[in-house]
Amino acid sequence: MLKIILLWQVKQRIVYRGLAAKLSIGVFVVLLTGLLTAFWINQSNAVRVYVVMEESSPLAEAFLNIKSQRIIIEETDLERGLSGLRQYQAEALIIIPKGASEKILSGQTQNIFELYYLHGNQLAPFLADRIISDVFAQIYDLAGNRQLTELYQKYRKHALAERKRSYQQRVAELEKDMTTGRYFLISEIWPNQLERIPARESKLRDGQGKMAELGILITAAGINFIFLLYFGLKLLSERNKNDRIKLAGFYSWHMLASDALILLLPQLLLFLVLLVPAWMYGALSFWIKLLLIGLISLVFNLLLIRTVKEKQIYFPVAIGVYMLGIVISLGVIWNR
Amino acid sequence: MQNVILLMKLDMILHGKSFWRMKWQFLFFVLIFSGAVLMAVHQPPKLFYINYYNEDTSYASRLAIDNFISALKGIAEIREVKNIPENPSGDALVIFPAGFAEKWQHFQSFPARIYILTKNPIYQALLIESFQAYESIMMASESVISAYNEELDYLQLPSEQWINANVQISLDFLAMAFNRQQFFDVKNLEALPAALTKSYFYFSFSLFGGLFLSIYWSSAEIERRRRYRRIFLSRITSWQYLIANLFLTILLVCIYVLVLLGIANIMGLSFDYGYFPGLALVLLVINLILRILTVFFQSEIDYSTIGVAILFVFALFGGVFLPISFLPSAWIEVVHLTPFYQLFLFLTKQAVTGLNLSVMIIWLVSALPLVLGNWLLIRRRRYA
Repeated sequence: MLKIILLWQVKQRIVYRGLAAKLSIGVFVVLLTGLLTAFWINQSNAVRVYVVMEESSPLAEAFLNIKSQRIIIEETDLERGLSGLRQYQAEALIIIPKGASEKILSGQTQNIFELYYLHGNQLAPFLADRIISDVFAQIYDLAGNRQLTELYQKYRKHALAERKRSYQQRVAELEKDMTTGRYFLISEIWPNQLERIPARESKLRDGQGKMAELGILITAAGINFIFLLYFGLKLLSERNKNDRIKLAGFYSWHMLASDALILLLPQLLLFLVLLVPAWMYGALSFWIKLLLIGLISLVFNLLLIRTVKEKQIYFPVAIGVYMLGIVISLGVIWNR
Repeated sequence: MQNVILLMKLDMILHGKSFWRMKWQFLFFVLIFSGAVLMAVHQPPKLFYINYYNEDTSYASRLAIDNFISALKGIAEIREVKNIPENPSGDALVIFPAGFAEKWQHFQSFPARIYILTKNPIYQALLIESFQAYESIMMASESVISAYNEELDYLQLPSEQWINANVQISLDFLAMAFNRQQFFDVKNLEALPAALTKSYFYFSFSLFGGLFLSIYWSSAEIERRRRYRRIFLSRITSWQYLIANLFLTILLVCIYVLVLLGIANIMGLSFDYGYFPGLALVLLVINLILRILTVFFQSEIDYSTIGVAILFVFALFGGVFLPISFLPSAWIEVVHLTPFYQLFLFLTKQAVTGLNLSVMIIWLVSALPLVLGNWLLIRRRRYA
């Protein structure tokens, strides 16, 4: 044990040398990671859809008032909307042209709104369908009005205005009485899985920000990985002194343990600092995941130091592994 | 020229040897990478897979449910299953109970069960919200038609006229709901890749990989300085040294771009080939800039660490891992400022419109002072 500590003390003087210059980056990393954790877990995780309002009507308003956890409806003008769409800032652009309500009132049901999206975007038609479904109450309202007008014009013209008021009131009353679950009972858990999923996990599923969590996990783990590599590389540079260290009576496991301590110290500091925002924003499960990834990276680095012969290849190989990890995890999640 | 070739050979041997020592690890990574590419190739053509099971075998029910399902066909792959599976596949499973359609016709609550099976949280939420929206269509039609029926009662129409009016509004509403996608006049924008398609990630990762390669390659310059310190004592000039390095950089960029071309073919991506010379040119210019930046660093470890950390931050804001449309609105202004995002937009446009000759000339002209800058730095520092 004494030998390990001795070796660790010798190494840390070499490895952490010049650390002050990098400390600024370390602080930046911690700040960025904390900021992203807070920001993403709480707010992000939605897709943007631009809406251009060329008419002012309850129908047009309904587009802006769509309540969704995952779709941000943003009003914009045509020029900005189209350029934003071309620059990947939104998934789709919906234009509510002047006279859209009139068209529905006159019985038209085709090509009322304009929908723009990038070629091949599979999400956009789905979002558009979701949005049009949400404003259908307004569309039915207009269509119902038309039918009612025709009905009264046919049978009792003079009573139309008066009956329209009571009819609309009645529609509003009926709508108010209806609650979700009337036609669809939606569940996120397949009955067979109910017993197998522990309560904690099913609670996690209900939480928001899973996709964002993946993004922040990739980024935070990546930045942490780079810093581990930095220290790993410094350890690798000192390998030419190994023969002399062995002659001094140190074994390879002394070196391995001291290397592990060298890599562990900045990790512990980083995770202690990250614990504060994680605790504040109730993202402890996320913090644990990050910690696990950090420990895996640490073990990977220790192995790599012993495998790699050339330090020039150390960085590309390690980043290559990391990149492939991202590609595979994204691929797996996207395909699920 | 002999000296240039000699320097190139020397560099290639040194780098080649480094890679050769890692051949098994390298092969392993190539295999994993091939796996990732193959996975992308077999990406499903539809965004969602929805299975449904209909317990009601009556004609009316089948007709109603077929219409309901057909409205989803444009946006998801829909399949009917003959039995309720023990472990269902797909992104959602809808179970219509016996009598669902009949009860629905009479506005009686007899809900269908919907199980959201996808584990992707954003898709999970979108599917839940969509089914809730479909339910709101049904509830809106119920309230409007019920109120309308009350008006029919008020008018005290003879039963035949009452039924005709009721059937007319019901059919109208059903037709509107089932053909709701026709409300949109769909306009596709150019052939730019969509943010969630494999071509988008191909472009974003190819740029990210290229920039990472540039950081690695320029960091080797710091090591070269030490190694070639003695070279200038021989008759090799700084121009020869610079040209040798430039040729090697062009060679590396060309190999990278050719590999990308191969991957694009394997993945079955089709876009204008002007993208590749555009990317090569961009990477060449970036390499020249990065080589100039190496003079501020004494150690390649420091240089690589800082370079890759900055690249990660820019790549994150530039939409490599998460498309920009997924980021909060307030961040869009920051995204605009990242060079990665601007480069990504520039290159995807080349992939759509083809390489613009005047743009290529501008990039080439911008490369010239950078080459001169590199030469001046070599001369000034003498790499000693």
